[in-house]
Amino acid sequence: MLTGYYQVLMALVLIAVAVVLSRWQRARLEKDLLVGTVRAFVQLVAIGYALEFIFDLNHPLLILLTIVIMMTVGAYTAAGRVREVPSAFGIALLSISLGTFFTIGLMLLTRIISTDPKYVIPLAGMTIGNCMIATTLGLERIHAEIVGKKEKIEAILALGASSRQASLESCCVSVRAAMTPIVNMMKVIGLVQLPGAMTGMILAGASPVEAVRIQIVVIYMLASAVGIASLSATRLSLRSYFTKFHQLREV
Amino acid sequence: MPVPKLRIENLSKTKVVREGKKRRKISVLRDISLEIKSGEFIIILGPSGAGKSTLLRLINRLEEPSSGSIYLDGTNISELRTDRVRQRIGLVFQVPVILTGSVREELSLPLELHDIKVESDNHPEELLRMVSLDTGLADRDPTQFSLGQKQRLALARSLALKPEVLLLDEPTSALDPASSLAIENLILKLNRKMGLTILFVTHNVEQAKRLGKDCAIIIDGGIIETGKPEEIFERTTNRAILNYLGRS
Repeated sequence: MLTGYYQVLMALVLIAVAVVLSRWQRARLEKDLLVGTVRAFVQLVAIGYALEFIFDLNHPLLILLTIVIMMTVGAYTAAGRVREVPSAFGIALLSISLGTFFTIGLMLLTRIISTDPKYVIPLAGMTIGNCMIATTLGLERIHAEIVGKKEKIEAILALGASSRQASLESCCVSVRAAMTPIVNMMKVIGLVQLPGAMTGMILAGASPVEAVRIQIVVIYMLASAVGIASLSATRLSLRSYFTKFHQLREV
Repeated sequence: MPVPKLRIENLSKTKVVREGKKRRKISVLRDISLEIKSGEFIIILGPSGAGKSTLLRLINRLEEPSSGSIYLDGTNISELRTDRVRQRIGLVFQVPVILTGSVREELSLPLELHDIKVESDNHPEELLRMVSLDTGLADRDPTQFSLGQKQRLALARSLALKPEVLLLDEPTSALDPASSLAIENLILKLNRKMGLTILFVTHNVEQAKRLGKDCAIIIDGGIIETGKPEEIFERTTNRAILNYLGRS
């Protein structure tokens, strides 16, 4: 078996296949594919060296800083996809932080995982990634719900309902939409797809049973984090849509 | 002198509208003052876009005024809890919106929102009778109703909270002439029999004449004239009203 950067070099052949297919089909994706290939290489190599540095230093503040940077990038990405939602960045950052710190914190406190950065950072990364997707989906849906059901929401408000009562249905629908990917993943995990953490561990030489044990912990952690982030994002966004006098703002 | 049920004092509202990438402030209501006695029926008449609906939304506190005040029984509504204001001042929209899956739920929802216990098991039926709807409809799905039936149901839903003032925003504009007439008579009856204070918004001059109650004509966000519709239309020399009546 090939090792080191020879593996990567040979994998480039697969990119060449994609480029040829794009040219043949006139999809005009050749440039994007090449830029993507270079970016992925540079970003991943850089993060590899950065993580090696952080793992070697093993300083709590540096670990925390890394997680905060990851959360900020996650929130920025989530907010970029839901520009129409007022204060989307702040809502996304708070929701991702809540989901991540609660679950990772609890796992550290209960000693499910050790404080070793080689556990904390990858797990935080996975949590942040899933919270980011959940936040985006939740915010997208709550916006669509509130804009699409404006008349209904105002009819309930006019009866004297609070903004929370008037938006209850929309919030439930949005939380469900945000949590659907993780719930679906939990249903088919191991049957349709072998998740990334488990695959990585098996490839790195761990026994499948050991990999499964870690994967179970990971999926439960992700479900909890996504639940918190989804609920937080939809609830926090209500402040952007309603005034303190339970009036629907112009959106 | 008794305190009016509703007193509107120098009420103005400006809104920001988007025109492409630009934002522009427009004046929707200008210096509106009006007094409505308890049990009175007032028609707010004016062309589309005159600010009539905004006036009702401000009274129900769905929006905040830019300046001016609204008093309910002498108390500024901004000093009252919003839910209490909306409990005491009901609003029926132009297009009825169905909120639940059955008529019974529709009529118990307002009480649930305010944690009010239902006084009798026949509460939905009593409300249906009040708006001249067949009591046999209580367990039906209201989404299947005709527009006229939906509007009656929306009216019954507002009445469930026993409001002191009822705001009606063009409640018949989406209905056929027969349903429209039936709703008008029903609202007149509610005013007469229950002593409900009513503000009835319409753009329909014939409807205002038919209702025969005192009216305030709003054009371009301001009240131009008040009085009985027939008398205003006969005596007015106001160019804006003549334009509105198509007599210029």
